[in-house]
Amino acid sequence: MADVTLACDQTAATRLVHDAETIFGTQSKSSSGSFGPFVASYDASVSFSGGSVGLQTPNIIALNDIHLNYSLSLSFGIDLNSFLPSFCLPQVCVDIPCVGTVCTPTICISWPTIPIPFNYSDFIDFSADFQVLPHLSGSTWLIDIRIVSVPNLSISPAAAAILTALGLALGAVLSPIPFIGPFLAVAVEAILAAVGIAGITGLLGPLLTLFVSGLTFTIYKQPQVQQVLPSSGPHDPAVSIKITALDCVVQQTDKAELVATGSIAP
Amino acid sequence: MSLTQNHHVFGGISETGIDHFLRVFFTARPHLLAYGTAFYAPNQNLVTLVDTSSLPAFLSGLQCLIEFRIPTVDITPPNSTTELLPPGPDQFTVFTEVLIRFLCGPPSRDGKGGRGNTHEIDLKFELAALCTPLVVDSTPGSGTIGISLIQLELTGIAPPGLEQIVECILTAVLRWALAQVVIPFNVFTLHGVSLTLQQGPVAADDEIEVRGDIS
Repeated sequence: MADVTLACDQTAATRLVHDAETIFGTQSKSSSGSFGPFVASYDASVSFSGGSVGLQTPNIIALNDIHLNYSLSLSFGIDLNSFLPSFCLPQVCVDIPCVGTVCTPTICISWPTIPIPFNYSDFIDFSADFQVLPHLSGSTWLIDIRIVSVPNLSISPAAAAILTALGLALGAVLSPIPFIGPFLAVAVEAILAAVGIAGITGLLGPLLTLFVSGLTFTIYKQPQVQQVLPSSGPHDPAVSIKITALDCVVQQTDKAELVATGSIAP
Repeated sequence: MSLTQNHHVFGGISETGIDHFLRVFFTARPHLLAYGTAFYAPNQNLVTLVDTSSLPAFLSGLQCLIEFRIPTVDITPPNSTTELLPPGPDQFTVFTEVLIRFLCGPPSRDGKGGRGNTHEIDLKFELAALCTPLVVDSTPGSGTIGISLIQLELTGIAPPGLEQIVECILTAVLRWALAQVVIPFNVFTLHGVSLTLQQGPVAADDEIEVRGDIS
């Protein structure tokens, strides 16, 4: 029999996991990737929250409908000449008495290449199994739960929403450009078509997968040596115990429980 | 039957766990197991001084030490029905050895006893103390449980009247010593969760058990 046994039922385990998600905090990555026909640089940050906990023997915590909260800051350049027709204002000549004929030059419009900043925040839900992994790291005992395999992230609904938001952002960025008025809708439509759902999922899917792959929450973290009683007088020094062994499994009886067992020593 | 039963969190410390904790506790604070007059208490980290300064001078040559070995426990159900004070429901028995050391001699000038014309008498025997766990402090997360002594029994002393006198003295000393032992909830939960106590502590199934919720 272990020296100490700690058991948490599904409700308490849910609390532990949600606390672990909070401690996990926000993780960020910056890089660049294909965004349809464009190359976009991005800053992405994610956090995790919620989810219901299922305990499965011998050592699995199934998390269902975890919120993957993400914020995406994209930046990419668009050469409008690729999407809009070029045109020229023709030469106009006027006969002016005593001066002669005066002509304006032919003016051809060359569309600029413009930077598009785009920010978007949303969440997607996913479910995955996590393996319970108690271990000693240096002088600290940890009970981690690590994702067993990368789940299928359902990006498509988010991609449609992103495409809509991108259309609004493009309209705001393009509308101040001189002479674009009649072409604005065409330009936005053409760019969105170029990016497409595939372009968004092509960027977002691998990006979010990076955060989920190997995802590990720490549900228990304590030093191997712990002070359990403070000093209480000149002859009563602090009392500390050392956790010499720690294990954690899921047990199923009349209800499922996460059970940690430990050994203690001076 | 689940460990948490109708609650969300269970914490249990087994007999060996309690034994290890008592070893940790009394190794850090050995004076709680040793009580002596001035001659035997030059270092009060090791021996609690029993102040006899108010006694008449003619008794100053008499010095005494009562010292307990670090105890071990048997939590109900009993390991053996033949053991001294087998624990009943919600009880555990503390086993220890006690050494009573008595220095018999004439009065000393400094009142601290001495070795001149004295002789030391050692009396050593096993004792059992029937105990029950109790809540000392129920503050969520930082609460503690303690030990309440119910009955003490020893062997090897006769006649019965003398045995009862020694039992009475040792009951008073050991009751006080065990009252100093507090086991924080954090030991039950390996510091993993902050426990709000809802049931226990109870001695059962060779463990001291608590149940509650995460606070």
